[in-house]
Amino acid sequence: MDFELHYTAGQEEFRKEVRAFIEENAYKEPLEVVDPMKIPPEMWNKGREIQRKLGAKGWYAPGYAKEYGGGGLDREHRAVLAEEFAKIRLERRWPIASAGSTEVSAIHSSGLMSYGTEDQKKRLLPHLLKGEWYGFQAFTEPDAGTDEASMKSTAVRKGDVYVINGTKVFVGHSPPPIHPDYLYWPAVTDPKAPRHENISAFFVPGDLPGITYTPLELIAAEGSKWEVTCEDVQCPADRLIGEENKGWLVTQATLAAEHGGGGVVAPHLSSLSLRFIDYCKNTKRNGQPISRDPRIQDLLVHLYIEDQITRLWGLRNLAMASGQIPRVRYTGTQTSLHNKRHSPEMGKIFMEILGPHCLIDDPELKILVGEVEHQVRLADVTHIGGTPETQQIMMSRGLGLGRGARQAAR
Amino acid sequence: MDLSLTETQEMLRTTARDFMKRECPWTLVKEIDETDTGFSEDLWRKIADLGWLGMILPEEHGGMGSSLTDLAVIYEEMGQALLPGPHFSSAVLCGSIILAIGSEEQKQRLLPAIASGEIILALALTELDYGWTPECIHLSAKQKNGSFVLNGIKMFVHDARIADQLICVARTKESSDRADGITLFLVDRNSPGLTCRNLSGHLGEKLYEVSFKDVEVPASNVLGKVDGSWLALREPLNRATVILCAYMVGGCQHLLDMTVEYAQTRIQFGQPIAAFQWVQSYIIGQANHLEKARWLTYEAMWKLDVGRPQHEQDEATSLAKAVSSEAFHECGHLGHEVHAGVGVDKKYPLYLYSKKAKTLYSFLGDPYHHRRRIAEVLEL
Repeated sequence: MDFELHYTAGQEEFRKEVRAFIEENAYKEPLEVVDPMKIPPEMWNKGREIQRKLGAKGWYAPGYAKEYGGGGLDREHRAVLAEEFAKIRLERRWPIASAGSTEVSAIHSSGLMSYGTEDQKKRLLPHLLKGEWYGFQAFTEPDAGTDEASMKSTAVRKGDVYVINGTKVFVGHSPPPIHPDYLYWPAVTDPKAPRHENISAFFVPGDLPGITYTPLELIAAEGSKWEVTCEDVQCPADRLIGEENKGWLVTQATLAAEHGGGGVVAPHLSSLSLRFIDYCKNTKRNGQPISRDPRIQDLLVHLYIEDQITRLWGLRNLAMASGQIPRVRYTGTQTSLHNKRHSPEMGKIFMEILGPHCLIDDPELKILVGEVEHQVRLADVTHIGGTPETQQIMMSRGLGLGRGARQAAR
Repeated sequence: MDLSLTETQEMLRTTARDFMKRECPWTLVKEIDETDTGFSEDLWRKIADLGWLGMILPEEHGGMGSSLTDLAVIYEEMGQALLPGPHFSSAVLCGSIILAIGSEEQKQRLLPAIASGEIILALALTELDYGWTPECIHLSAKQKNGSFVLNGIKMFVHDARIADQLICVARTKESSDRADGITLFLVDRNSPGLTCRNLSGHLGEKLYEVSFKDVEVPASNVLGKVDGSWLALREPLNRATVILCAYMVGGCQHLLDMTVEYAQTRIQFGQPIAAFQWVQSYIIGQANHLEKARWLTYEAMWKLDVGRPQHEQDEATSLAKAVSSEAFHECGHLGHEVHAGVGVDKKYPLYLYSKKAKTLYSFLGDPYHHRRRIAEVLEL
C-alpha cells in the first residue's frame, strides 16, 4: 500500500498549463463571500464566462468523450485539474459554486448519455459538456420530495410540442435575477401507466412563455434556490430526453452521477475542521488559547478524526474507481452519508466551543471569514441530493439488506 | 497512491483465511476460551510452523523480516476467526520491545526462540491504577548486591500464566518527571516470590494479577537502560498497537458479515428482519465503524512501514487505536441489537466477539488515552 500521491512528469507538465489558466482567470484578492446563496450576479457571470472558456479547452467535462464535447482526459489529468481547482478555491480566489471540473450541466448529461438517442446526443450534449448551457435540475415538487416518482407535473404531446404544466421547487443555483438556459424537467406523460413507467424527461428551454421563476428565501443551500412554474409551456418535442415514458431511468442516471458514482479524483486538501482547529489554537479567550481547555481539546480531536476519515474514504473510493481494490457496493453512499451526519455535528461543536460567536456574520466579528456561521446554518440542511435516511436505504441495498433481502426470502 | 495489496500479501491472506477455516472454527475458540490458560499447544505449533511468530523479526534473529503490513494482513484474518493464544503478546508485543531495546546478546538469545514458538513472553505493564502512561507505573525495583529486587503488583497482564518470561515495567527511581526512572526487566515466570492469579469475569482474553514479593532479578536481565526505558517503549508499542488494530478490524468485519447473514435469514412478521429500517440502521452503523477503523489502520501501517516522522507515526497509531477500539466494541453491541436473544446464547459465537472487543478496548490504551495523544501531537 502507498497512501502518498505521486505525479508523473506528464501530470506536472499539465499542471503548469492548468495553473496558468487559473491565474489568468482568478481574482487577485481573496473573496469575502463564503455563502453560495449570497453570490453577487457579477460573480456568477464571471463564473459562467470561465465555464465556457473551460468548455472550449475540454476542461469543463474533462472525463467525457471528445466527440460529444468532453475533454477525453484520463483519470491522471482529471486529478490534476480537480486538485488545482480545489487549491484556488481554498485561496478563495475563484468564483463560488461555479467553474470547477464536475459541474451541473455535465451531471445532467449522464441520463442523456445512457438513454438518449444518437440524434439527441449529437444535438444536445456539446451544449452541456462545453459549459455553454446552464440548467436547473427541476426534479423536486412541493408534494414530491424523497418520493420523486409521485410527481404531478404533466406533459401532453400536441403536434411538434409537449404542453407542460406543473411546479418544481428547491431547484437551481443562480442568483436572482439570473435564469437558466434550460430546465431539466421530468413530467408525467402517461397518467394511466404504472409508477416509474409514466414519466418522460425534457430539457425545456428556460425562456419559454408560461415559465415563472420565483426566488426562495432559505436558511442555507448550495446556491440560490427557486420555485419554477410551467403554465401551458410549449416545449419543442425534440427536447425530449430518451424515449417517451422512459424518463424515470434518465433521471436516476443523473442522480447516480450526482451522488458520486465515479469516485472523487481530488485529494482532500484542507477542510473547515482543520481551519477551525487552527483558529482555536491561535485565538485567546480568558487569557489562554481556546484549545487549552481539555473538554474543547476532546471536541477538536473528534473533528480531526472525522476529517481524517473523510480524507481516507476519498482515497479509498478513488482506489476502487481506478480498480486498485475490489469495489464494495455501499462505499459511495457511505461517504455521502458520513458527510451528511458529520455536518450537523460540526455545527453543534462550533456552538459548544464558541457560544454565540459562532452565530455572528457581522463583518467585524465573523469567524474564519464567516465560514463558521455558514456551517452552523448548513448543519440543518442535510437533505440536498437526498436525505440521510434515503442514503441509508441506498446503503442498505448495497449491504444486501432491504428490498433485496425481502425478495430473496420469498 | 496505490492501495492494493502486493501479490505476496494476497497470498498471505489466502493462506491465513484457509488456515482459519480449517484449524480455527469458533467451537475451538470457545473450547480454548473455557480453559485456564487460553492456550492450545496444537494450534501454537501450527502457527509457529507457518512462520507467523517471526514475521516482523529480522532474518538474522530467526524471523522473516516482513513488513508490518504483511503481518497485518494475517492479523486481520486472525481477528475474523478470533484466533486465541499468546501470539500477540509474545511475538508482536514482546518481540518488538526486545528488538527495539534489547542488547545484542538478549536479541540473539530470545528472538529466535520467540520466532520458533519455543518460548512465550508476556508484557507486565499495567497496575491497579490502570493506564498506559508512566504515572501509572508504581511497582518498585531496588538494586541489591548487583541484582534488582522487585516488589508490587501488576494487573490485567495478558497471557501471564502460559508465559515463560515476563517483561516487567518497573520504577527504579522516584522522580518528578514520571517518565524518568522506569526500567524494563526480563523476569522468569517461575522466579521465587512471583505468583500469578487468574482473573475471572467477562473476559475475551486471559488476564492475570501478577504479584512480585521480593523477586530477585539479575542485572543482566535489564532490558535497555536503567531508569531510562519509558520513551524507548514508544516505537515498539506503536508497532504492536497497529497490529492489534488489524486484528480488531478483522473482528469488525466478521461481526458485520454474521449480522448481515442473520438479518437476511431470520424471519419475523413474515419477512426477514433485514427489511426493517431500524435493523438496517444498526448494520449500517457496523459498516461505518468497520470502514473507519480499517482505513485509519491501513494508513498507520503504511506510515510505520515507510518510516514517516515520529509525530506522524504517533498520531496515525493513536487515530487507528482510538477508532478501532470504539469500532470493535460498537460492532459487537450493534450485532447484539440485531441478534437479540440468539446473540446472548453461548451456543452461538457472537458473545465471543463482543467480550473480546470489550477486553481489547483498553488494551494498549483506550480511545480516551489515544485521543489525548492526538491532542498532544496537534499541539492543542
